[in-house]
Amino acid sequence: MNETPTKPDTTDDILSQTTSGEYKYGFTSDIDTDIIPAGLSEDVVRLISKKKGEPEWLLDFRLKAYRHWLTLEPPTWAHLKIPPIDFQAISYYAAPKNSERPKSLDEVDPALIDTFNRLGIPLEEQKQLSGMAVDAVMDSVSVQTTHRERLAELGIIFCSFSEAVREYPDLVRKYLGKVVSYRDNFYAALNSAVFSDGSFVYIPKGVRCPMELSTYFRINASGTGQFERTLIVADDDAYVSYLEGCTAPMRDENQLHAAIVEIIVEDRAEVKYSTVQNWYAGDAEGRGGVYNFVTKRGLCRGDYSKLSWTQVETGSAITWKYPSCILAGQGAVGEFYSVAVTNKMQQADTGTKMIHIGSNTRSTIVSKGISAGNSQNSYRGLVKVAPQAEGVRNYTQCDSLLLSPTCGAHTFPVIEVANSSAVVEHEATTSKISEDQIFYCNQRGIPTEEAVGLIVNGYAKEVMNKLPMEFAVEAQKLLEITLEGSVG
Amino acid sequence: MELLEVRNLHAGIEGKEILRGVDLTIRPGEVHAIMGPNGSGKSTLSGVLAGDPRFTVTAGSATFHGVDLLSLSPEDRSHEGLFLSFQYPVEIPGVTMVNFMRAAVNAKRKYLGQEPMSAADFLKMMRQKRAVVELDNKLASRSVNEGFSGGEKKRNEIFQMAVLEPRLSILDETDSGLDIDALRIVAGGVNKLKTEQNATIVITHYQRLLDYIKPDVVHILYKGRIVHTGGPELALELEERGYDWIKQEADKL
Amino acid sequence: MNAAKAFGQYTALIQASSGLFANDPGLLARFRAKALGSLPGEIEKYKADKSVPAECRLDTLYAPDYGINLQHLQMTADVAAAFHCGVPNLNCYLMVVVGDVVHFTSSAEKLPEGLEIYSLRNIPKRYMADAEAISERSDSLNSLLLTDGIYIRVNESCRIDKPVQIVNLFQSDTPMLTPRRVIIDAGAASALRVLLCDHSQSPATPHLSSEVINVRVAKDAKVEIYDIEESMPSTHRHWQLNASQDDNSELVVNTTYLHGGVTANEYNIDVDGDGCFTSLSGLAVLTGEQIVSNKAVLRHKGCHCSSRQLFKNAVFDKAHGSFGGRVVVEQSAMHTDAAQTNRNILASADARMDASPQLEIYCDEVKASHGATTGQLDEQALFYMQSRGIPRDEARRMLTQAFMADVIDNISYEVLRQRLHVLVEKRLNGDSASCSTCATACHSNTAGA
Repeated sequence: MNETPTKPDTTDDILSQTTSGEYKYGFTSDIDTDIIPAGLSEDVVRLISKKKGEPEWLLDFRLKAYRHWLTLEPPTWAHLKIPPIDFQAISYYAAPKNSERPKSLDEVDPALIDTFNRLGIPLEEQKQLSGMAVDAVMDSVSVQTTHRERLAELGIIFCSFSEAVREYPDLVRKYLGKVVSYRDNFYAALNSAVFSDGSFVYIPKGVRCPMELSTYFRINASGTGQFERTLIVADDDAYVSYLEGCTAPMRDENQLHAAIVEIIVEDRAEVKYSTVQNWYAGDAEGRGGVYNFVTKRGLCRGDYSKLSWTQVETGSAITWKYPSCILAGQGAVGEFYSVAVTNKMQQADTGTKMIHIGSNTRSTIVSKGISAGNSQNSYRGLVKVAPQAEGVRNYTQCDSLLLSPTCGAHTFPVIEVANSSAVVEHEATTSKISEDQIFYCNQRGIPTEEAVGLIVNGYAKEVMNKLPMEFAVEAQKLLEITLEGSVG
Repeated sequence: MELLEVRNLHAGIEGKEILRGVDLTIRPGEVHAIMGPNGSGKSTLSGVLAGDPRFTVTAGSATFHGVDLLSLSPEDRSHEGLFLSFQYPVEIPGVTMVNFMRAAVNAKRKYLGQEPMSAADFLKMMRQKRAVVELDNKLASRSVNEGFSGGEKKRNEIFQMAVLEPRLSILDETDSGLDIDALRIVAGGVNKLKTEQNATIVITHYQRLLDYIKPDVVHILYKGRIVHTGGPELALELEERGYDWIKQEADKL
Repeated sequence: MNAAKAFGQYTALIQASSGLFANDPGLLARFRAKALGSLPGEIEKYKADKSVPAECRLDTLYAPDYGINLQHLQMTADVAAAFHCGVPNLNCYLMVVVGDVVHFTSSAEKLPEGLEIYSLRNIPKRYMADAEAISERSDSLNSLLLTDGIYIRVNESCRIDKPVQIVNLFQSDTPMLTPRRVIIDAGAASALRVLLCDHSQSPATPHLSSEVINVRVAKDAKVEIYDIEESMPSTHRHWQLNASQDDNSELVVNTTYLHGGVTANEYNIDVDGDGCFTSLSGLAVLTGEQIVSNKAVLRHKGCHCSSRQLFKNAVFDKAHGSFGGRVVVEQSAMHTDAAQTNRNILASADARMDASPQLEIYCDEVKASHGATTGQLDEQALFYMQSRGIPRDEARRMLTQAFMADVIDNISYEVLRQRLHVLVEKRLNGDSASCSTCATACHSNTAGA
């Protein structure tokens, strides 16, 4: 393949680099012409692997996953109505279709630009996000390249997954599929067979990553699925905060996003993983939007390790996602803070699993579901205490807020305790947004729409506070935008 | 014979040492006050003597009228005549005061090889003992300490003390959170129960309670040791001068 | 044996035995015909049911090879004659079901105006349509195998003070499956109390008690159903309550598990009317290797209804408790107020508890909450009690009883409430599955003590 990429300094540089014809990330140099036809077969899996110049072991991994996938059916247990997906109609190599790309911002749906403006995303970035010009990179553009030298000095590896396969094959091989096996579920198997790219992070022993690492995921082309993979390893005493943002352009068709995130946390290490998910949610009639079927899981393998998931879910037509913690080390800590907002025809079935295997492990779950329009919003969770796990503590709080008479809010927790020293508490409430509060705001001159935004943000504050600053502001605006027009 | 003989007692919680060698001798008929600044180990001492499982004894001994106190379970310590008035009496929803006290009284009688008390005798005794602290009859049918006010909880502690007739009572910060009327009732109850045979340890931060319960001996506990012992005048001196001079004196050693 | 095979054997048996049923009343024949039609579709559902412990799944429960009294033979009827209720001063209309054969005792022969009780074998023709309608949703296997049962009817505006007590007894040397059915038809503005007691006198004989309770609560009516299980480790029980409520009605259901083997309790309550109140509660004290599953689906359809659920388990030894509760608030159910609580104590190292409290809400004018906790007795309270001289074991017992108390205190029927406090206390005292705690007191008269 080609030489290693140069190091651009600014977002603009990244933009121009990644969108210019001379794109230097070898595997996509012939991007405009080389599109794999829709459909999935063993040959397609081999082709993807070959195009990416992958070693034999990785091809083997993909093929095993593909063969296993053939034996599986899509899961049906969630509280979701998922139209049948034709997996042969999807192109599994994420190359965009040139002809469909808007030529300038003027051609982009004004509603989308409006959203971006209100989010405060600058123009150049808008270009990048609106599906115009970012042919090359579907993920992992960000601080990574700009601060690479500084990170490298500390021994931190932060690069694209493909690059990691080339540069650090031993590390990738050691950890790939160790937390989310390709056998885990239908979409995990699919991802393992066809994953396109993603991010790789390694924080060496004793290193605190001095900055937030972030990745912006997006789906650009139509007719393609997105299958990225993130692998984060925090070695003993390491710390990292990782941010993931998602956007997708508006399209009438549904797009499939089936990602995997695997995290390994060693002794006394800590990983914070924050997501603001704003994939296109479809229109008011439920046309279009992303199917977000994601498997995220962390293994707190080390003693006193800690993994904290924070998610703000506002987008996607359908969300199926349960960021989980396997608390294997002694005294390991798992946290899950979630705000899920659904409006229009959106459906979300999201939550977490806390698997307590080590003694004195602790977990906290705080989930805030907000349903509006005709949407359906479910929390689904598992808290499991293994027989050998002494002194386990869990506290779960799931609250649902209903903003319309035609939406649904559901709570499906499962608690399994096989050790008598455990204390496991679950509390949940479901209620309508308070008319008294809205009236009070109205009386003070705040219009209803703004009042709802205020109240909902207050309601979700406990979770929003867990987000890093940069994200918190964006997430707050997102909540308000998502709920616009939801209260009549 | 001494009623309580504590020698070189070391104890702590979760590996942190709090008592670092306490010596204390108490004879029948005496009232001892243990005073000291916050965090000096006063409540740890009372907890350790009563057998609170949160604390671990690492060294030393405590002999209670000839019995090795530290080897006994909390209930047997109670049966032997040790009573702790809790600083924060525990609420036990669903267990009524009557059932609670009957279980306590009959467990003690069983320990002493006596027959259980008849229901009629028991209720009669409850009535008599309630008078000691002017405890409302209605409280007896309520769950233990549940929904009791601060004053009611402390009166309830002294009521239980009256029922169980201990040899040695430890009053742990019994004055905290009480207004002057409640304080007078509680102290009056303690004084009524005082005899030549029993003894009392009053643990307190302030002199106030000692105006009502007159101590024979005053100890000052600081950093897990008794650093000063004197007569009732010591408490008055503390009230006047605060704890700083004691701290300085002790820290010099 | 796999599920299809287990169910297949019953289907085949019934089809082969059709000659035996020639003289059965039409109602039972219609139950049977309906079950034969619906069973194949249900089998897959049984197999896939992951919401209960494997031992409580229907395909597991029905798998062993039990004998069935298809000829409706009367077994050991003297057991019924010898029965005395252990609830003191319980003045009731008493029915005794020995195996699956219904016996009327003298107290149930002369009923007050407005209360009628029939065996399903001689239910009057005019009531058959009602009985069938109320039984619309029933466990198909129970319907398939049923040869007897009880129909209780309270006419409009009749309020019956004295409870109807139905005692299920089991005595057999051979393994048996006993299908049992109670159909309760409470007319408008009526009131009825039903007390159900399950007992077994054959500790060594495997027994599956399949019980279906179908209830219709018409408008303004109030029905209270109390169930006490005090059977044997060899007893397996599938107990299914299906109820519907019309406007302004009230339904109270309470189950107490004192002893048994494997118990799967199911509650399906449809609150169809407006302004209803529903109370659903249960407690279980589990020791040894006992397994109890309580699975409730409460569906709110009417407006301005409130429901309360409270389930508590104290799990000792190697026992396994399970709670699955689902509250569904449909879009039509405006101003629903639903609360669901599940509290569990794990008292031994090998004890297990699963809980799945679920809310499914499609309406925004709603107040719904649930809470589930699994933990231990409060250490501070234990120490406080010990410091007052109460031995640790006794303190644990007192705290466990106190933990259970509010479930019992919910019971408005005073005689029963007092008796249940005593029964639970005795149970916690470790007077295990012995006759001294058994409310049936069939062998002696010690139970009243």
